[in-house]
Amino acid sequence: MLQHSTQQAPAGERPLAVAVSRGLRATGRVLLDLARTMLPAMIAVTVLDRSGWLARLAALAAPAMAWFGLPGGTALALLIGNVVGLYSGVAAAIPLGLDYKEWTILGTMLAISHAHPVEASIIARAGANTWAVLAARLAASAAAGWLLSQLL
Amino acid sequence: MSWLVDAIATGTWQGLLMLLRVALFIAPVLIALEWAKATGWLGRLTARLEPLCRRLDLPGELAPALTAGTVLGVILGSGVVLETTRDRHVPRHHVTLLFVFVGIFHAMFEETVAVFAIGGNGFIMVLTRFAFAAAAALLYRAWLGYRLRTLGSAALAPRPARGR
Repeated sequence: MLQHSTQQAPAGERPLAVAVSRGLRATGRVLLDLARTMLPAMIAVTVLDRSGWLARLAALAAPAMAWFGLPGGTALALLIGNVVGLYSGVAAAIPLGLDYKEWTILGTMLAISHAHPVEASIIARAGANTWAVLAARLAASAAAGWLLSQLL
Repeated sequence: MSWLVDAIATGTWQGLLMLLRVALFIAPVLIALEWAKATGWLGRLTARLEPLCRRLDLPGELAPALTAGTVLGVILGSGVVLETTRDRHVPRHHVTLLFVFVGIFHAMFEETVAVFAIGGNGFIMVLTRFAFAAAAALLYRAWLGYRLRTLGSAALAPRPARGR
């Protein structure tokens, strides 16, 4: 199989082997990144949850989060996701025990809008107007959350 | 304080389990993406994305950046834009328009699979993201057109994305 693909590959030899090794290395990098961002978020939220502070925060945020059909505790997940990253935000929501619909809404909102400090600087380096991109992402995230909460 | 120790232990354990789960889902996707890069599949996908590019009123030069952004992610998309603007004049508002779309709809395989791994509906997510990305990009394009009409093109000589 590898011999055969050697002759056909436009780029590099043995693309499958190269792809597996590069893909596994990329997975390793993602895992390291996840360990760095997911574990602290999960520990923090679990501690907040056990200490009773999460419930207090959730009660404060509940009216706002009701717009998106989400429980109040997910406000913290949205905040963490937008500031730190998608995976941290997701990790912060795991102790809440969301159902299928809530995961879909939260996942979509976080996927549209996350990791702004990091991604904004990257986008600015490419030469785009960061503020327009940031505004579009935040607005789209909120609109998508509301729409999905109505539709699902 | 035993509750605190217990909470930290629980959080760590659950986090590790989730890490494993996400890794199991993401590894095949990342391998497939590397394969697509190595065999030139991504280049063929770029040709497919050209109509989308035209619909968004983006110059054809930004099609590779659109592909890299939507498939691989914001960081690599940005890298391709830098590559493109190194030797060609690309107006700044076109790069912004590109990133209004890519900012909302990017890394479509990796992030979708990640959300699927934790228990959401990836299909609904991709559809919603695409719809909102297209809507936001079209809105931004309409606004650019409105600005151009009201202010006149003289006030808005397109600024290059690079060399400011």
